[in-house]
Amino acid sequence: MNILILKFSALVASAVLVGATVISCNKDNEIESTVEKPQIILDSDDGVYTVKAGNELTIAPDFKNIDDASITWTIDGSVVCRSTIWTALWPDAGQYYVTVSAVNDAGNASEEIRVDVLELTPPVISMRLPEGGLKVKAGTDYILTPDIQHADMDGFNMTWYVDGEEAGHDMSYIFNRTETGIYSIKIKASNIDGSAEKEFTIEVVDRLPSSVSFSTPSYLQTSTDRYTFAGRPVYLRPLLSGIEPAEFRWEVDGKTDGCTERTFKFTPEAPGTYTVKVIVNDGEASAEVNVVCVDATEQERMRHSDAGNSAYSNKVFEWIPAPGQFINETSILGGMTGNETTIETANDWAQQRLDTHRFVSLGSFGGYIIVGFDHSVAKSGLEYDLAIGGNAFLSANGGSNEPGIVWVMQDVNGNGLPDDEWYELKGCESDNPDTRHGFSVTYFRPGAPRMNVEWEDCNGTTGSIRYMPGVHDQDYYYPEWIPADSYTLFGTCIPGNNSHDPSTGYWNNNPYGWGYVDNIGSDIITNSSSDDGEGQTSGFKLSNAVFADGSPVELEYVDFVKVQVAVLANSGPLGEVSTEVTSFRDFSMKASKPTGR
Amino acid sequence: MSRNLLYVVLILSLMSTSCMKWDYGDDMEDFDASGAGLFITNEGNFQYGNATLSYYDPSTNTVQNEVFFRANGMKLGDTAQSMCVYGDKGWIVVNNSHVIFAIDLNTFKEVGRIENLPSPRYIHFVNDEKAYVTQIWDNRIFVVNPKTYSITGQIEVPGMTMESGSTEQMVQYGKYVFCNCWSYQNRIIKIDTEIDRVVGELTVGIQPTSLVIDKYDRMWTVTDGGYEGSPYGYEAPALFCIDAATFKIEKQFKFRLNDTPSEIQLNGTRDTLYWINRDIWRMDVTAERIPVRPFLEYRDTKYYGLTVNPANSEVYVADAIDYQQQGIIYRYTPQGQMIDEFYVGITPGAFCWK
Repeated sequence: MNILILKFSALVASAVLVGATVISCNKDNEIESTVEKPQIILDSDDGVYTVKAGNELTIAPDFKNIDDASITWTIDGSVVCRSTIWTALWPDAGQYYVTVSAVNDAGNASEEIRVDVLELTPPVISMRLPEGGLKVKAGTDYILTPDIQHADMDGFNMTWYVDGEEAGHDMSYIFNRTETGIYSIKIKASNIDGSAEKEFTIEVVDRLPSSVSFSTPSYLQTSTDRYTFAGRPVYLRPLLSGIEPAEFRWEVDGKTDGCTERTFKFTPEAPGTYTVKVIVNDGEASAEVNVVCVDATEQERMRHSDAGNSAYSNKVFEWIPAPGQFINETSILGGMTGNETTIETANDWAQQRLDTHRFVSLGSFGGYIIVGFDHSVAKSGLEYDLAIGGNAFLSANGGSNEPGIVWVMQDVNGNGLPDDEWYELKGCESDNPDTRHGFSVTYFRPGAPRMNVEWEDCNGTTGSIRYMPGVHDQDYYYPEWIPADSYTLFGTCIPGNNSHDPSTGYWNNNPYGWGYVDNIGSDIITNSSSDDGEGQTSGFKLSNAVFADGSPVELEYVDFVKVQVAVLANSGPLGEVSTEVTSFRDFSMKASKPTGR
Repeated sequence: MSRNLLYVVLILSLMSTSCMKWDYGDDMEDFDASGAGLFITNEGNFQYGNATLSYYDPSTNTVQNEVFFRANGMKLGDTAQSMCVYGDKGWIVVNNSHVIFAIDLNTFKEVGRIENLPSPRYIHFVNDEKAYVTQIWDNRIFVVNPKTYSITGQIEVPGMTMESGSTEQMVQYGKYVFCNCWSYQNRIIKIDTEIDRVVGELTVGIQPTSLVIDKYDRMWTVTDGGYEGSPYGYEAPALFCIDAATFKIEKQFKFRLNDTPSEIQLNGTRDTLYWINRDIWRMDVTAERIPVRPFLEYRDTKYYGLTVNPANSEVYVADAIDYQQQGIIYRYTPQGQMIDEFYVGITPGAFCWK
């Protein structure tokens, strides 16, 4: 509003004539304007306006003293509006700076505002579906529970359809059909931002398909062949699917052995290839595996070190982490490049990290890394044989200890590849009755970016690796270099040792006694980044190597080392417990500084 | 100890230790850093004993790292939290070494130390013979005599247990020292320096992180709002303007719930505020709202410390990167153009102008 101040009547007419916003005055015969400067009072306390992409936004500040003012709204210097109220359509997500100005003879007012255009967030449906399709036994309940993103938005609604018929509106659906056959399932979900559908089939069968198989030594290996030296046993244990195991029978080269257990301890006494067969439940299913007894001794296979050898591991053979917050993390926190979309590039990246003693995360339970040396790491006679770096630390309340189990392998077949026999190095939890040997967890690729990664363990327990927005914002925590939509990691699972302080709300990953990587146990070697350039490292002895039944195996040296996450645990805002490794060193050889930044 | 406990929690799983050994000999070096300069305290990693002190000369764009070790032949200690200059000495608060070192400002050689402080965070000088030392996880502010390097008393802070205790940065108005109480706290306390007692308190928001006083004798603090799941609560952070004379809140500017503002700073003329909230922000102390556009944009890294050269308003930002490698300091003109960057020690957190 303008204010009219009339000091001299002579000016009145002209002031009125010009519609005067008036206002001028004369003092000592000087004419001076009394038009007041415009004012802009935004209709947003903080000057930030929020709108969903594809929607209109109206901004209507309260303007004062603008009867004669020129009003402009500009983005990057271009005028987009000249009215007091601006309505615009915002098609694309992003942040936009807008300057609104009002100018009159008395001066100008200007406010910079920001329009935050948010992505639409319609529902996203992700379902845990096994490779090869979902099969359900006739007449039994099967609970379908999809992970649905943005179900907390206004207007959320979901509907289940079975063979086109509406079947429910709950977040879960109990599927039970007595008739065998294939049923189509459709989930429809919607909220104010849109809708999504997910379709799949369920095959109802009288009897679930069964299978027996032998595992490969690692995710990347394709052969199930087992290698050993004469006189050293291999422990053969089949994987079973869809079978209630009641009875086992074993044959070696067609001859029945007396073993009737699920695990068969087979000790070849002479070089040769032996075909071992397991028959389950009197022929319900069976599988074969080759046991190769090599024509060489342990000593003959050993690659002795000399002065030219590196103390540190020199090759990453497999970096197969479980999903986790540092996987695919390209921000400075994770340091990945975004090019790790193949096994080779992922291994290369991991090797570069180890070269500089920087952490490589193994994700959740079962994630692992396999490295090799340019020589065999021999039993040293020292306090330890291997030194492996992590990033554990202690604090007043516990600290961060994320245990990884060490596995070792000799290159029995001499082909330079880690396709031989793994032996676990015992730790303080090996004999804990709550430790689960032969445990496995299957991880499922999320259906959309920024979602939890669902998992299911070998006992049917399900859970998820929680997505942590604002902390690790990469689209997926599921490794980009795993081509399959699900993958299973096998290992030994020790009880979690994390704790939550109800008074402070802080989580702690408490230390274990000894025997684990990324853990401040009694086997800690170095615990400082400033003393020797090694950081936190723990020591490991080859004399702790055991067979699958826990009995000791005598190893004079090892060629390959695997570290595998030993717990399936989550620590609130810290996320999943995940081992990090920073270096692998032959303890008998001198430590040196990292090779670069 | 990192200044932001939440970050300590969040970075537990990434605090790697792979840092290089410094390649200095054991001999003590003779520095002569006369003239103006900037100290940078590098926290290092909690419990790793790898805190260091860096010194930057803006006139020559040169930095010297680990000057405390090089000048004194001994390590600075564990978690260097803050530093200030009083008289002709620099005072370095080394939190988890429970010590405050006094050093010569030109030679960096130790000239004295105050020991046996449980968990010191900041030191504020009342006069030549009295200073206050704040603590974390302690409900006491220690009174020290800088001349004798001795603890002379303590101020118990009411309504604070040892476990949840936290006193942080201090500013002075007349005979009163004000202090923000951060970890699991929500208030500013007022201490009468004549009687060394808390004589008032003002509730602000959850966890005020830092404290400055502007040219109009108004204090500014910014809260971090806690964190999701905190038993102490979680709320939108806010910037508070408090009149020092009346000890009342004059203005309050709210941030968004997921914002994490910290490190409120002033320029030399104390008329412009700076702070970190992912980006670096700047605001005139007379402004009626927080600007919508940051002064310096986020660089996909971890801004961890901030200062403004009191002589020319150049802005220095400490980047902790990943809390495990050497941090970087970025130096900007008052207009926001970068004019220098240099590596310092691990987790650079605080600055001190000489």
